Amino acid sequence: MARVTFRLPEPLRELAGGASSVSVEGGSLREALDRLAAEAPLLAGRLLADDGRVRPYVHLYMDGRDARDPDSVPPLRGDVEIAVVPSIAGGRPAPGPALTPEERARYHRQMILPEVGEAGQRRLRSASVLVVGAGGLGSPAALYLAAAGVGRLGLVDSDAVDASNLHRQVLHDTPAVGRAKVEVASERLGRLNPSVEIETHAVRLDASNAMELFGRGWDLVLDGSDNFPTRYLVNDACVLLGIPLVYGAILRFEGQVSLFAAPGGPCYRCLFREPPPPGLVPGCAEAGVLGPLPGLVGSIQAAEALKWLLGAGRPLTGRLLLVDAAEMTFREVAVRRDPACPLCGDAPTITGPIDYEAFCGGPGDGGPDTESSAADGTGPEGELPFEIGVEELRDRLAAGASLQLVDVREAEEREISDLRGVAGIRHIPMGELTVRYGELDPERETVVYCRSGARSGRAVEFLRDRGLAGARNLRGGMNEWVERVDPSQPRY
Amino acid sequence: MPDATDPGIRPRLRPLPLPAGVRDRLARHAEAAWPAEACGILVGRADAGRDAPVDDAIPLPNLAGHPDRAWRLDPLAIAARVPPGGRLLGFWHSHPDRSPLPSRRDVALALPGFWQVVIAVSGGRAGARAAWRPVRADAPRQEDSPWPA
Repeated sequence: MARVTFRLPEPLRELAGGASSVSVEGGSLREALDRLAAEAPLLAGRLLADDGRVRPYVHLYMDGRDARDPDSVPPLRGDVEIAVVPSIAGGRPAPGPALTPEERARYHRQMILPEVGEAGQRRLRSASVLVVGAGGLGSPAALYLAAAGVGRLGLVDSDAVDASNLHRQVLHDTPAVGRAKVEVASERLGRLNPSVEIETHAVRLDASNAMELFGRGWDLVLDGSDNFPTRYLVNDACVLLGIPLVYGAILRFEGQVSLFAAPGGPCYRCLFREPPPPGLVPGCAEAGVLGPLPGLVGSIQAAEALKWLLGAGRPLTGRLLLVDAAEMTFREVAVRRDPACPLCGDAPTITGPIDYEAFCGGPGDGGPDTESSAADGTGPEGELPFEIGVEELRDRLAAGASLQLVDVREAEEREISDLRGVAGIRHIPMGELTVRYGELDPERETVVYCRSGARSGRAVEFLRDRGLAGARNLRGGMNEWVERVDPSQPRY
Repeated sequence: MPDATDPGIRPRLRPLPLPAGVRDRLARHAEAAWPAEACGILVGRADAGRDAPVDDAIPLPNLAGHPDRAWRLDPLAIAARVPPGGRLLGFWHSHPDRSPLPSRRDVALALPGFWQVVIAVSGGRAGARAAWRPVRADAPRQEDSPWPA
């Protein structure tokens, strides 16, 4: 049995009540660490991982000898001093061997950028990027990443090339119709830059294979997927594994790009806690897409990926870029990490992949036509009731009540029916609520409505979660209003 | 359109209080070390708690084997540099000729509960900063992420 004294440097003293050392009894270093865990759990939690191993940034020295592996230290006797030394360090790995003359010739035009140079090009060569989807977004992104000399590219896609893909998916051409996309892509990228190592996965990404696939040592993941289950899965896997994610999405004339899961930055769930109801946001197959739009968005994704790998410029962390090709405008919305995020927040509830099909539209999620289970019209004492009836709304509007009115329907629906003659209605379609709710005054009583009260019910739940305690759902929605208050308008 | 100053957007985040004088000192230390990485500690008043404002950014020798792309502080030297009545709030280092975003190794080795401030120095001139504070030892998840600091 020995008396073991752990000497603490300044950064760790706070965890031991300010003491510069902590002493415990123990016959071995392992036993002493166990005793430390019992007597100074805060300190021990910082030094040891859950499996009992010494954390990567902590070094233990006994008489100047490395004691990081406690189980290899011989039994202790007498008075023993252990110096606890945290690594207060950081940096980047070595950038690999020098470039060949061929490489210098090929990459010359980007290497003359001061942000790239010889060191940056070597960094790209030692980098690896996983591209999810070899379609509209993945095509331009993978082409630019391979052309730029990113050393290792992964491609995941289970689809075959279809003639209807060719107006936008520029990796593929007419003779490729019917062949597996990843195979065609691999050949095309190999011809473009034979020095790039290409890894293909002709599988449908799902919760059963994502962690294994994402865990294969990627520096970055680029999401070119076209559906919500995959988008949430990609985000979750990236956050859980600590891999930055270049997100991109497109529809019709509009696109979004951001960088998620970067250290300190938000994730997709911080922005969109839940997927929109099934059917609310159509896919490209139903809604259509202008061919160059994925070219534009996928190229922006590739630029963000290269910037991140090079450490150049200002990344899109904390910013959601909104591209509108119809107006040809670019604007951005600030996105902050949400401490209450179920995935990357301070107390996460999602610790592994979930059932994404069910999450994004399985039974119970409710489409626009189902009744919202929360819309029962009652609320805890002292709060405004969750719902408001159409007659009450009519009477209060007639009495000049100061209400904030929010229509969460799509623009087409507003042309069918509306609260005619009422001024100051705010139109925030359901799909934009998570980024635009900040436009609302949280202090005011707010009535939210849609067609039937289902979507607006979810909107009110969302708003109340964000502290808008005065948010209320119009029971029965516009159809109820038409039925009981204004029969001059059509129901739909 | 919502923006970072909109009180409706994530009001719970609190940025790192880094006064102008400290920002200037940080910039000077980082510029003096360029093209090597500079590093040091951030200190505040002991009685102001862990969310105390940063009163000073003190430089310490960079002991890394490759100071052009890495940094390392002597942890035992830190206590001597924290002034009487002061408190260690975190660490800073510079990124010569690249963005202030932390590298993987910066993240993996970051001590939970302490601020990390990174300042970019481009061509010898100090530029953008980033600040973050890891919550847990084993996670890439961070708290309080004012980009930039």
